[in-house]
Amino acid sequence: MTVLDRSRPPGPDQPRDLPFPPFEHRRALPGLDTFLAPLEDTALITLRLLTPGGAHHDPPGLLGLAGFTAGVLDQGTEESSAFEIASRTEGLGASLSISAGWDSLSVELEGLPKDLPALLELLAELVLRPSFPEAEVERVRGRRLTEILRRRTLPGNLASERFAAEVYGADRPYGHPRIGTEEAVSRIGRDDLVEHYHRFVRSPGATLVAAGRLDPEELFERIGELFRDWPGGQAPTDPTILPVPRDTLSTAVVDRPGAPQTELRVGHAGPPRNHPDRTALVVLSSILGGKFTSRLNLELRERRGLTYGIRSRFAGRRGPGPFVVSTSLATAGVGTAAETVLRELRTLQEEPVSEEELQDTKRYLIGVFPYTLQAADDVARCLARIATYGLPDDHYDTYRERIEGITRDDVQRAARRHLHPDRAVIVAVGPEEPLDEELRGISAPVPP
Amino acid sequence: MSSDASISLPPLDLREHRLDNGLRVLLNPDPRLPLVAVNLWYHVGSKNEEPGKTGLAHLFEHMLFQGSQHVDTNGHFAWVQQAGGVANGSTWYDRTNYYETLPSHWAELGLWLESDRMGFLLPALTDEKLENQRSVVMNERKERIDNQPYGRGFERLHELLYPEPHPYHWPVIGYMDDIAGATREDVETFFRTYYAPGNAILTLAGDFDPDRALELVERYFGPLENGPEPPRIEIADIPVEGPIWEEQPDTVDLERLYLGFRGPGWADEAWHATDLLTTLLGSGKSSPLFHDLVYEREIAQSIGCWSLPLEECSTVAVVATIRSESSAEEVYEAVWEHLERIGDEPCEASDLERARNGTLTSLFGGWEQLDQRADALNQAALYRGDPHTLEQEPTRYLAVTAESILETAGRIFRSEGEAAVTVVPDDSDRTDEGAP
Repeated sequence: MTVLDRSRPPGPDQPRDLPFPPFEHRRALPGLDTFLAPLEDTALITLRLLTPGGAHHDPPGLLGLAGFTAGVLDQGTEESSAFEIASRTEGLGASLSISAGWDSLSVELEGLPKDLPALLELLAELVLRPSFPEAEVERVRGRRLTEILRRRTLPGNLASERFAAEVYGADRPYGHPRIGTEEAVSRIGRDDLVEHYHRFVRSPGATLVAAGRLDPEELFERIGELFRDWPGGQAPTDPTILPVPRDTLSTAVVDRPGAPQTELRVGHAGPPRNHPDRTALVVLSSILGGKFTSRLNLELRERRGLTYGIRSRFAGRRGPGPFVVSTSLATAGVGTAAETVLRELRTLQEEPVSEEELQDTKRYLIGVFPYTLQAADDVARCLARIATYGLPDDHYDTYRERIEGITRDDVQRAARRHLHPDRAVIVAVGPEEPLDEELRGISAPVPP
Repeated sequence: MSSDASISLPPLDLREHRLDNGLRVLLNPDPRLPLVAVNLWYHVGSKNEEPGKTGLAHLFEHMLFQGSQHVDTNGHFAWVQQAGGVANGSTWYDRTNYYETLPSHWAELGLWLESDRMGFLLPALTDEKLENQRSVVMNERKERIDNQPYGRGFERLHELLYPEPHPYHWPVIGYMDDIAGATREDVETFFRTYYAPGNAILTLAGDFDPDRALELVERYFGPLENGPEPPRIEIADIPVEGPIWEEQPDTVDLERLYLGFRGPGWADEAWHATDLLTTLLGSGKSSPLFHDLVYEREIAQSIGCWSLPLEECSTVAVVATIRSESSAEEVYEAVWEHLERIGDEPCEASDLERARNGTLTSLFGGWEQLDQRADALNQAALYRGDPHTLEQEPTRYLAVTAESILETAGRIFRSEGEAAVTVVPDDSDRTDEGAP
């Protein structure tokens, strides 16, 4: 037997492809679209109803309205009490989650495939016949006010909220905390919730996604029956999102006296999710701060030991969502970290990434695709993105090809167009005095 | 649903081997997806540390990502990622795991990487790398614990529940001074003592040919020499002298109660009943603790009840965040009403069914995630000695009756065995303005 040569890694065998699973995209009713993915051999089944009632519709005086509505939706229907709804769901071993993101208010159910008929009926009951009982509205209000109080002490949350407020304005869509403010949540009345529900939740422009062991024909027919009262017509228009105009770098410090670390955010508004540059930005962000071996993580964690980790991302939203770099680090390293981030942004604009870095990153993004599709819920999440962001139906069929097609020029062009180190917002949450010192005189590197 | 045929795991295609150097190998071929999970468990965790040198197992885990003789400093992640894989590791009280989930045609890469750090770590270890990772881990501790509201609550609960020198006394991540003080000699000794083939189990789950896989495992791991048998730990079983009640000031607005007991370990006969007992009590909006304390009485903002299974025993805990209008004392009394009731009268059949169905649903959901499945196989092999016991999980849960819940509750929820930590707003260092 020959001695094993360990000095070089073994290469790959023959790859086996995993195509994105087939699904049916059909309009069930004028106001309700469906995406149904029959999947063999998956353990659980997922149902997701996406409605246009996201927090971007929160009116300035009633911040937190969409989230509040989501919180009350499972607290009583014409047929069932809050407790009965919870008992029915949990009795099946299923999980129910209702939440208001920026773009949509969604109702998600996950359970065993044999319970699909029961889960679908429950879903229909929740979104078609909620009763918004007064007493439940008050209970939910109490819990949401307490939750606002709790979040005030979470440093990461303080940083993200302040960052959003700086980029979009504290009482504007994308700029306010989705849970709302103490004042607004105290003021929101039952009528406001019912109005939000009728205008934006039980509203045209909704989509039902299902993935798992299911028969699409049978399910499609059943959806048509159960949701026959779903309203048709014009889907609500998205509000216009306008980031706060900025032409210089700005910094904001939130004081947490004696805090052992600082939460840092650096970034600015980015393009909407369906922007044609999205694929290049996925590659760019992975190189910058997406994967473990990203430039920022290698520099600030593996070389300098300043942090446990640092990440960058372009949030995917219907409107111009944020680009943000986030980390939690030693306060004494904040100046270095912020400057490093700004410098790396500038470098991506000025120098093309190396061919090796590009190829490694593309191989990673392409290779990891099957890993992200193990469960029915993973597939449902992809279909929900197609629906929410108006992506083409073959978006995930062509995803890997599109990644493969990205060149060094594409990355650099995307960096020049979508990164703005000279007008970024820097937010630091930690002890004020040393932070002021750390951030004093910080400036974006000047282009040559 | 208890007699439903869908309540079983798919048949487990599982092959077990042991290499001459003592490495246990589990192969679970499953071609559903073109992925392979490579998952290595070492039977060493924070339990194997000693006071004054806490956090060493976890710091050591970090060092295993810093390269080995044939893998560059950042090579581990770089190689895995260029293959389209994901990798990580985690340290726990009784074990440390390292894992990669790779596209199946790259499976051999995982074996190369894992065998290299098992056999050839020390030649690549430098003071500089240790210095860097010590700093990373100190930042990790700050990020996860010291800079988080309630961050020290669970840590303190464990300190009280397992008095020194019980090895579950200290936190897995270790104390700051100990992390700062870890030397290269400590790290090298730790490696020589615990990181040998005979102290590890390697599981492969996913899309591969088992004969070929075994051949490759033999090729990469076979030549590694086994080390001496690691020392056994003597667990000084000092009982809790409950009830213990301790207040911990922190930068919070809402009080939080951590109430803990010791329960049976994961390999114990009574584990499944314990698991269902805690799920029944506090998981979901229809559970008695949530319905009564959060919904009806509105004295808690949130509440959870869970059992954390360890090798020697489990930690059974109720954790409640308290509404401003209420107090930790009031919630504590209310929690105890439920703990007493469930130890006094048989639970409702519907409650038991809910707990069981929820547990089985998550079991099946976890089973189809290859990395979770590989972890579960290693866990069963290590703590129960037999990975095939996983096949009986649904049956074991179905066998739990209202009587066994009653009996288990009576045994666990005893005032003499309880420790409570209440995290309270720290008024001492509060300035009047600005501080959140």
